[in-house]
Amino acid sequence: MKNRPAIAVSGLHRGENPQPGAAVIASLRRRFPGLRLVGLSYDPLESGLYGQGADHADIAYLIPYPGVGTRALLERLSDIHAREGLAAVIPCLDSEIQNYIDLHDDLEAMGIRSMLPSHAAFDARHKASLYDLCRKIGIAAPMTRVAMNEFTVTQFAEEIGYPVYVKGRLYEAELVGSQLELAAACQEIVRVWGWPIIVQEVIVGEEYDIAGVGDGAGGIMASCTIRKLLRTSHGKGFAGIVIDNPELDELARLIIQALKWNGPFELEFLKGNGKPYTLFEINPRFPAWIDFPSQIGCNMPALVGERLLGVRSKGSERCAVGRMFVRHSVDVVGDFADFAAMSTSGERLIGCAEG
Amino acid sequence: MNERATAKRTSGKGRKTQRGTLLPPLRYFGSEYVLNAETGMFYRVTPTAMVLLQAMSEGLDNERLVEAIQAHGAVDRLTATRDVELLINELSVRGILSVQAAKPRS
Repeated sequence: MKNRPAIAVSGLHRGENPQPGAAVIASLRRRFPGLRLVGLSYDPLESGLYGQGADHADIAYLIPYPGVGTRALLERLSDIHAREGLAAVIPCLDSEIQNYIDLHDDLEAMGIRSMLPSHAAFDARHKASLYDLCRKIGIAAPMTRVAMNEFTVTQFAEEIGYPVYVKGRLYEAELVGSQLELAAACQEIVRVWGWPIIVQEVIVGEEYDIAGVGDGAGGIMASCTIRKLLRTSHGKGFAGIVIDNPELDELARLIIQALKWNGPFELEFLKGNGKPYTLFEINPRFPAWIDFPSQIGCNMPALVGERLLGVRSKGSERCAVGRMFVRHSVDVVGDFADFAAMSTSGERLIGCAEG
Repeated sequence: MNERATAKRTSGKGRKTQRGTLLPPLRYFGSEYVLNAETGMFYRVTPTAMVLLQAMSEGLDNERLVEAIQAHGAVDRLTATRDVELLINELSVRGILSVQAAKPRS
């Protein structure tokens, strides 16, 4: 066990579909230079395992895939905790949040703190439930239907009107222009993610994102709103600009208040010409661009870290309008020995980590 | 020079101008770029349009807008008046300004 406090962070891959973990690590390190950062990884090829900059973990451990279940995760975290003395964990992937919510009390009992939404709040923001939540609190949302078989997928797509999105329960979305394309798109999603499939109206317009932290009592501790300037084919924001939009701020306030959201969140809106801001996703974690607001004075992972470590908050500034980011991919150099070590032993010392 | 350092902003949120158009909260970058702080949309505008937008941001009335364009372009008053009308129409069509429909009198 090390002398300095340790926080574990997952979601370390910064590839085509970048995960937030490395950005969260960089933000935490900016606030707590002495913090020991423990990476939780699912694959020895996650790019964050090879980073050398401020976004690298000090040490990383392989953990079981979320689908394996809570018991395997708890056993692995107990093992890591025995070696690292974890003070807290910040899970950064949609697919693992449910497990961490289920394990919240067990982890607290071990002394590992986390800042997570309640079961009810987490369930209410599921793709399948979001439409009903939005109707309840008076926020525009794309028409959404949850299909449990091929017949209802076709029925719902016709009811909504082509084009539609068909989406997996957690990840993946395919744009479908006609009934001819529907079967192939569904098969691919079901093959990877299983049923149900979500059929959703397509809204065309500008995309707006709000990253923030809910205080668990209905308030927002800090947030940053951007318009996405560049989007990949998967809809990932590779550039964004800070805006100051009272209407979006109010929508965020309504949503977080209704859910009494605890911890990090990302709200994704679309705005079609002449149409209202339409909420199409609530992600239960920080977005991959979270180190951008941190670099301009609004360090939200640090706010979470302060709360988890019981440290007095330094607060955060409001992001200045007009500040922007552009994502820049780089090649990080590794050695096959690093890959082999991670694959064989399930752990790897990355930086000058002994504390 | 850092563009950010030279950015000027309108005071407060969007507001209605004397002409009934809605002027959003704009920020000006250099002599050509305008950013709508609420929507994040940005535009490259002509120097004359920039003068007009900044004058509107300062709350100038119609007379003063025409004078500002007259001074900027060294044109006669009739031309400046026409340019103001055309520019406001153009800026509205492009979504930089919003035109508010006049309320019918009861």
